[in-house]
Amino acid sequence: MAPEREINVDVHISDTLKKMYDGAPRAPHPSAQTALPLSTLPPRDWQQLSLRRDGKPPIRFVGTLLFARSCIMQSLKGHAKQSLSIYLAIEGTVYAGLAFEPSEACPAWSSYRCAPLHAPTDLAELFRDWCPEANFFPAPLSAHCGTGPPAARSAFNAMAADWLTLSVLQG
Amino acid sequence: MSSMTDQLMAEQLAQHGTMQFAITAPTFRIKRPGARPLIFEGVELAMAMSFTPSLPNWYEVNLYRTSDQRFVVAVRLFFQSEAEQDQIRAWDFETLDQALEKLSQYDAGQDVRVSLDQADLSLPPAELAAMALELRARVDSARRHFASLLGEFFFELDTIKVPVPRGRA
Repeated sequence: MAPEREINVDVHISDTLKKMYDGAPRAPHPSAQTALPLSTLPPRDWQQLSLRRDGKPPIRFVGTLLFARSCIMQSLKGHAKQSLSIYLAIEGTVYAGLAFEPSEACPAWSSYRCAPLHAPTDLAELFRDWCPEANFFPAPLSAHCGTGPPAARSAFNAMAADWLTLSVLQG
Repeated sequence: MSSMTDQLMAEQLAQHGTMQFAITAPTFRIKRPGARPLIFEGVELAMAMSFTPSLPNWYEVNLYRTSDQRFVVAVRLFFQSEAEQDQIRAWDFETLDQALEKLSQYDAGQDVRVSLDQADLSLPPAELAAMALELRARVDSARRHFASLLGEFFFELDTIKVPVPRGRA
């Protein structure tokens, strides 16, 4: 039997609106203004990217994926995937993206964050503000027995520690 | 004729200009608290809804284009309980960007209702502090709820789809 669906987010976008939105000129993201000169970057497989984020339009840029890590948190009611990805934009800006994607039976909101990294502290700030446990519905309502939020936090901490260790070891 | 058929016809005609609009576009009437109702002819361009059985409320976001080429944004908050009154906020704008900007700036924290009886001055400070924390948690939860829905809306609107990379687990 399929698990009970906790969230029923439904979105309908008309083709008319997609054409209007896609055709509208857009200013580059402010983070691109402090980027490195193009000539300093080695040739890569550049592609048009769009990084999703909560509550705001995605950040669009031409870039390439440098790195990705993911982990899966299992709770008594469903599971959630968390991932960390690092991108290099063609003009030199580095972006970090974090995603929290619960399964249908998991009583939690999906969440996406991304930010340009201009200084080492920017990544630390992104990690510090990332709060996977807060994506879960309030406990009395979601009946997740309290296993989801701490499991999400520990899974993320382990993934981040793994990546940071790897980064240090690889110099 | 079903309402779905009405919407489809209106959208198809909207792609060919405003003359057909004037003939077939349905009229919308949106009640607003503290303001006159928004009444316009037009079509619904997009809808996003976050109905969740285990939560006491959910949001519905609608975007319309009027027959005079303006854009209307409506944010509806529905409650599961019949004791609560649903609410709606709506605005109209000249451009699509203005309408989308309004959506991204919407603060769902303002939708949280305070249950504290202001006339009751007998509560000890510790209880007041606990209630303040609980209120803050509810505000955070409401903002996260709306931001998640809006993120889904903008993701569907964006024509460039980049799946989240799956790195080594």
